[in-house]
Amino acid sequence: MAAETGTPTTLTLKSNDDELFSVAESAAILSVTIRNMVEDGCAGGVIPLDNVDGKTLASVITYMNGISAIPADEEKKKSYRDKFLSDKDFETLADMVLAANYLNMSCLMDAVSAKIAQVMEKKSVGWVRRKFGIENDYTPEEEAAVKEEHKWTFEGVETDDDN
Amino acid sequence: MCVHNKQVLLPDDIIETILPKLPVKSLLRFKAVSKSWKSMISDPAFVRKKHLHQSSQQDNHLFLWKSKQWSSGFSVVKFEDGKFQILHDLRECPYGWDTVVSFSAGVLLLTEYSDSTYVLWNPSTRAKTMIWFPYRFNSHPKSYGVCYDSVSEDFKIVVISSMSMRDYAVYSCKNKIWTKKKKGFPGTGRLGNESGLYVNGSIYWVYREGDARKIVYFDSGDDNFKILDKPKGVGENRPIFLACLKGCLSVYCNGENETVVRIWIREKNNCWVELVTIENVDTVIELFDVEFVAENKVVIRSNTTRLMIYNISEKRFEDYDDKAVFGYAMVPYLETLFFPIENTRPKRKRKCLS
Repeated sequence: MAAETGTPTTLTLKSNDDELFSVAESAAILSVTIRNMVEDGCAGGVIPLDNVDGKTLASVITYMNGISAIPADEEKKKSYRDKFLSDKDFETLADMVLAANYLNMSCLMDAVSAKIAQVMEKKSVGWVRRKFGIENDYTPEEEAAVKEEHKWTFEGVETDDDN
Repeated sequence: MCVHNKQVLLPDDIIETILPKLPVKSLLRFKAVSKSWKSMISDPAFVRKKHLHQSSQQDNHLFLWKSKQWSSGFSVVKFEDGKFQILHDLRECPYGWDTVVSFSAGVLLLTEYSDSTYVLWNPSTRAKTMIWFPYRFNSHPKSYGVCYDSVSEDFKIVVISSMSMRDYAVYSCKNKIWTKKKKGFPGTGRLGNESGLYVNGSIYWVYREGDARKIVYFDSGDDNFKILDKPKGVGENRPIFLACLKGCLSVYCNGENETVVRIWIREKNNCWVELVTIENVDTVIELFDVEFVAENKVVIRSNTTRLMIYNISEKRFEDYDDKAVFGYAMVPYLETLFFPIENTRPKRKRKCLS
């Protein structure tokens, strides 16, 4: 623990695959989950984050440091978030939305869920089933009827050539 | 070759956070994903959530324009960075009707000016339903209004005789019933505009009684018309006009002469606050339609088809020559799954033989 005045307090976070990360307390408390631990005095040693893996936690910490370095300017924060998420694929975004939810970071949660919606927008029904692990429980007749009801919404859908 | 595909299973509450951010078109398509997705997207609580999400996107200035290109039909246009841009065309308007007489909560009331039929239409889901008007009002045209009352969760259509405000009828979409009101309003005047303006749960009109101009509104709580106070300093007989600016009711009229237009908005605390005084106006106020405020600019339709943009902070009109995109009627476009009447497509009933 940092005892000297003026030295920023650093927290140590541990991912569920036992990676350790140092992060400034001022950035880490963007997570309400972590802030509560700090306020309750439970942040003295290592903070275990059992629901987040190392790769995702590294990414979340990059975001925490990046966004907390920007002064109170909503425009700049928004463009940072857009840039931060621009090159992330669906699986990474899904991991991040789970982490943001667990860490209770509403700004990241909002941005990542909006980005996921943007990725999904023009995707096919089959793509959504695969990526979300959803089993098709319609009979072929029922599925055809549901699709027929909103036939126009199947125009302009991207073809599935993703992995 | 099979690439390793890691699957991340997202819990339902996170999926319910993501889905309202999708466009209506994608949501309707994803009803085919599974039965549980279909029931989630069709659930009234989700419809409300999507509606609230969309209404909160205040910087999304989307409009429906009656297209010049198609003999009937609309274009969805967006106002951004001081310019209009066509997003897509909607060529299939229901039954070919494209006369919008009123709108509220993303739902339009269309008519072909027959005396007996109207169509409610949500252009984002393409849901539509025809409604028959059962009364004979000895006036033509009539005045119309639609409103969504969030307290009773009812969507109402109001049809008023243009001869006298004493005769009007109200349709409740929830109860699917018309109610005719006689002597519903004590005044002897008439409404100055055919289309009532929907703002935050009420419908507003300018009401003329002799030379006096007043603001009346339809209170969907008790289905009665009431008078609303005007901004202080607006003369009794001065012609006034209504608009919905920044989500609030707005009134405008000429100032000391015809080249000055003053605009007020009614803030949430029910106080009139002057928004701007526009000078050097070269159009008579009857042809000066204040449409909306965006990015600190007032967008005005003048002479039906000319667009003018007034910069509030710089106090001047901006040059605007992008006429190529411009259509006629202009209606705010709200992406919503909301539709006041459930799908009335008759379900085939199996004969029950015992």
